[in-house]
Amino acid sequence: MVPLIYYLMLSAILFSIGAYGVLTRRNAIVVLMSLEIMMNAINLNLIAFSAYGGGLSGQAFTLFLISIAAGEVAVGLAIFLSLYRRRGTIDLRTSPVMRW
Amino acid sequence: MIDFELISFIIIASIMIISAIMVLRSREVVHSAMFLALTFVMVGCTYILLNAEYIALVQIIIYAGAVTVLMLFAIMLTKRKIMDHHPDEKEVNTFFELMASCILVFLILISILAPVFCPETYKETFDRELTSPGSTSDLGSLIVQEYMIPFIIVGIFLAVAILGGVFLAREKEED
Repeated sequence: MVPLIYYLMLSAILFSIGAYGVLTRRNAIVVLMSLEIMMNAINLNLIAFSAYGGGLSGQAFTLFLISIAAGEVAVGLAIFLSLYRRRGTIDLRTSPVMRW
Repeated sequence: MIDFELISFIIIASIMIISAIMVLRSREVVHSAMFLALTFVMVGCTYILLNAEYIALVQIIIYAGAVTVLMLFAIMLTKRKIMDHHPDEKEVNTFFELMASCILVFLILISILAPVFCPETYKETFDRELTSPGSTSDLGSLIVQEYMIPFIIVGIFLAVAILGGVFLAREKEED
């Protein structure tokens, strides 16, 4: 039997890895991938709570979150494509429109 | 007595964490996308362990299928500048690397050590039993009855996101 806290720990570790990627990577697409990893950690949390006695609402919200993440990826990649056409790079550290 | 649930959880979790780290550590962005797909599939496997089969299917179809392919297309349309032409320049900024590592280590230590050192606070998370929250048809009727408005809003959101993506990514005509 796996206790609930193991799933929460796994989700926290996954979220931290995603946060690390968002803070350090220079390639905009890899940053978007890290965002997706963080989103998956959140979904994992919701599903874990729903399975350990939280009812079905967690699963319903996970469905909505998955569709919103898909839309977010589509719009984000379109923005990066447009940025690439304009500037010739999607490097977040050198692009003049993105400070930091 | 061997606990198969625990063993499969440990195997799935370790593959998930290792591939999530490999997403960040790969030199080639395409390899990152492949490891990202592996991470998504492993998250889907944990959903199956948690009695959420429908969400596991949706996870594998949407994330491991659609999102990864979208990422691959974006990589192939934009690449060849970032990773290739400055091999000597450092990939990450040292200050951000340090700061983010501190946050990462802090979060992981908190999440692992807190239940070990104060088990009373987390007692309920150890004691609760895994249950089945409901079947897929229960989930379907919950969505179209109780969560009808969010369901419609998500539909509108997806349409707007597709239109916005097409608008942003199309070729501009020369004027």
